[in-house]
Amino acid sequence: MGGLRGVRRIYAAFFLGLFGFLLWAGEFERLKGFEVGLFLQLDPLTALGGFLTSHTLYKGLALALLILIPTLFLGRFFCSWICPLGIVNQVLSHIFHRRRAVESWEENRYRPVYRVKYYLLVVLLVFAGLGSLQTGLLDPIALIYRSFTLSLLPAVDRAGGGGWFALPAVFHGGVLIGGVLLAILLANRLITRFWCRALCPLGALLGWCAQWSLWRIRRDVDRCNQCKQCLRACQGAADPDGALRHTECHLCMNCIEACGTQALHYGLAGSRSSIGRPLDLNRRRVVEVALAAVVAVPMTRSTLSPRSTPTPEVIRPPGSLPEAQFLARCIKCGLCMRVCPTNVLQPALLEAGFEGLWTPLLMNAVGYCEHHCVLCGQVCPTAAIRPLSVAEKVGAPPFTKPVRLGTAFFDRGRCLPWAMDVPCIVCEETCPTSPKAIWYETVAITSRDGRKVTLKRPFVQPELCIGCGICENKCPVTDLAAIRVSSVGESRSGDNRMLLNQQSGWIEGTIDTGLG
Amino acid sequence: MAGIRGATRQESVGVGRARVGLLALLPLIAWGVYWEGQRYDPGLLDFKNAAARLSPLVALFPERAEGLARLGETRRFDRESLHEYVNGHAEFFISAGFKELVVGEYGLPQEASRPKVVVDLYDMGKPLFAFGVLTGEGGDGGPEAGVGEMGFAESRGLRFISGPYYVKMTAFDEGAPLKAMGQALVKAMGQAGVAKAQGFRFPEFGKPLATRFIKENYRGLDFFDQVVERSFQRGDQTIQAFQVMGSEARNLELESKLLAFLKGEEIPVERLEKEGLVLFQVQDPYEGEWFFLRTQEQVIGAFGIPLDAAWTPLKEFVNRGQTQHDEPRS
Ligand code: SF4
Ligand code: SF4
Ligand code: SF4
Repeated sequence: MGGLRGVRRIYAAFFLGLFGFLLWAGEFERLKGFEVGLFLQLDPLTALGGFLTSHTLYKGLALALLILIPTLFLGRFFCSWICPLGIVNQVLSHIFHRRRAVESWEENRYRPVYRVKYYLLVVLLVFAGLGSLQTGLLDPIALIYRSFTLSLLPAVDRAGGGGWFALPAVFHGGVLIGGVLLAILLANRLITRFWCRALCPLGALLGWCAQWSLWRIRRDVDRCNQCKQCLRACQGAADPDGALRHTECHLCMNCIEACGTQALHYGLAGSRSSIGRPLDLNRRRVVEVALAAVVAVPMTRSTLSPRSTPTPEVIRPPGSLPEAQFLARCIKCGLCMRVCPTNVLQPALLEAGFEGLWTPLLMNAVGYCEHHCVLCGQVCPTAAIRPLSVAEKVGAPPFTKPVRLGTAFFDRGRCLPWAMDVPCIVCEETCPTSPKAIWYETVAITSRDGRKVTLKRPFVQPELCIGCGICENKCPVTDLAAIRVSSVGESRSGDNRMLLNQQSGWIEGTIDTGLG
Repeated sequence: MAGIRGATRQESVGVGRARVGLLALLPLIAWGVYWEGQRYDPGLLDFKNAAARLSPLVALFPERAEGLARLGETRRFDRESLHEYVNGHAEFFISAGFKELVVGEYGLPQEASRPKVVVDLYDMGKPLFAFGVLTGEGGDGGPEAGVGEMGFAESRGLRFISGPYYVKMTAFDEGAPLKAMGQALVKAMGQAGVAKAQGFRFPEFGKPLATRFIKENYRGLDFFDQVVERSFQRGDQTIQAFQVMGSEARNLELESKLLAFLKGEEIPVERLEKEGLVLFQVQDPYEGEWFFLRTQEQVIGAFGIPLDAAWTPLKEFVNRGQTQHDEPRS
């Protein structure tokens, strides 16, 4: 019977390796066709949350059924066999724990605090039911992707471990994102797999499904001599020595291996099998938590955000859905930021409101949107960023218009030819549109010291500007560029327009998101 | 107990099968991931920024130069995409033989988004074409750069040629080490730079004003290609001298085509022999009087200057030999 633990270990090593490989392959030069978001597609919480907010199940997310349906029969196998965060927690718990038996019994007993994960799940699902997708904040897969992409890998780069950019990537608020993961990992020092036992909403969802599982860990009460070796080895606080809590069991199979009398097995019930315990949940508390969440949703929306008012700095990646739909789909996983070749995609803090925390924004001070790149939409697992073709992005036939992210504006008080009488046409040179959105007028002026200077003074033609931000990025005025892009004119919005510009005919009509 | 032991045996068999099944699943998953990875549209990954790494020119861009680090990846532009970088001006390069451009940015690593120097390296295919764009882009003004085979320093930049490469460096910072960086680049070019630009000397017809390179159809003549034209100021006159460098056979062919054309147009041409040189003087109703002569290495001529006035510098030029290296401002 112990053989299953060996298989579980092989699975854990395989899926951890696969997770690492897909992270590695997520670098834009290696991307090819690898499903870098595979773990997110397998994630039932991502699928359920997205389904509740958008009432659709984006194609890849159907893979989550491969986890959900077997869980109904087999229990929470995902947590110890596949989940990269669960596996890392398990390995660290093993390394951290050198306790005496009696301490381990105490530590591994089920505690009421482990209900918290179910309450968190309720909160997240109520949020999703009301259209606010916050599952990604605590979903372990989104969390671990985000932490690796936006914090740990850049840190490794910086420490000299090689990089996906020639220079280490930088991410807005990356330390906070990485700090959350480190706290989760360090918590294993106090309690084995504390995150999985107490906080993980995906674990809660799978535990809830596991209630009905037929195959479980079973204890033969006649064979059991109450040595509690199983309890000592248990990763899930499932009380294997008593009435087993199979909603908490991660199917690590350690208990079976630890049992000296072969009293434990995984499978169907035998005539002498112990009974199990139902889900430990206080219905009244569930209702309270759900009500609190119902109140909290409008509160999170009462702040100024691009959902209600166009916000200049909230420039979303090309192909992004209109803001409300975007927020209803983005799970804050950071995959788009991982593949972006210029590092322009950055996680928002509160720029896009509370709901937009850690969603992707373009920060042109860091990078710019490469004219022929469409990678972010290709990897986004939820189609918050719709997959575009290069032709659609740049407006090549059969498309008639390029995708616009915003519009560039000159700050004439900072622009070298406008304000300092210094020749410069960097923005015009780098502008990738054809014809260029930046044009200039040649003027001959006399400077304050009497010199005759010929200058090319630049202008933006807004209907040609796609808001790629390369001009802002390359502008030699360093701290705050003399040309900056704001979100106005973005293709995805029907409202974020320069209203008095209607006569120039560049106001688009309705938005076709392409998602039906 | 017998039943339980029996059940255990059955379960053992079941677990054994499950183990095999589960383990067999892993290679299938691995294969599926690999297979999916190989199915992709290369066009989606083929954006210009990444493609730069495929260019051998990238090796010429050092990681560090004069205390500055290369920021990010180099960018590459080809004939199709050049307009993205120099729109409005791309045709100028393309018509002059442009093959590819690689752009690298240098600055301080801690200010990754703020380059101090941008280096544009144009592969023009031939030294002559590189020369053409050097002189054609902004004329041959500015003090001599002392970098490469020929170059000019400008207020915030440096342009030079080395072999078939035309390099344009733009500084965003006072005191950026352009010259030293340019020299490092020439060094990195190694053998490539050794193929010297051919001599672009001209007879000293006056004060040089501008030089340009015309790749095809000089003066509308479809056989008159790869011409270097330099204009001179002489008193209040402007003289336009041209030369084409090629093999003896090519020069001969050009000469005979020119003569055939002039004959066909019934434009009077007089063959003159003067101090051992053979010249053709043309009485052109449209262009006025002009002349040309052929040497082993070139065909050279001038518009806007009577042969008498042109004779001394022309003679000196031919005597000095045509293979010498040009000085930037002749
Ligand atoms: S938009 Fe980016 S962060 Fe959001 S789900 Fe898509 S890939 Fe993940
Ligand atoms: S399309 Fe633009 S924003 Fe998206 S990954 Fe490419 S460069 Fe980054
Ligand atoms: S953002 Fe700047 S570079 Fe991009 S299209 Fe507009 S003007 Fe051109």
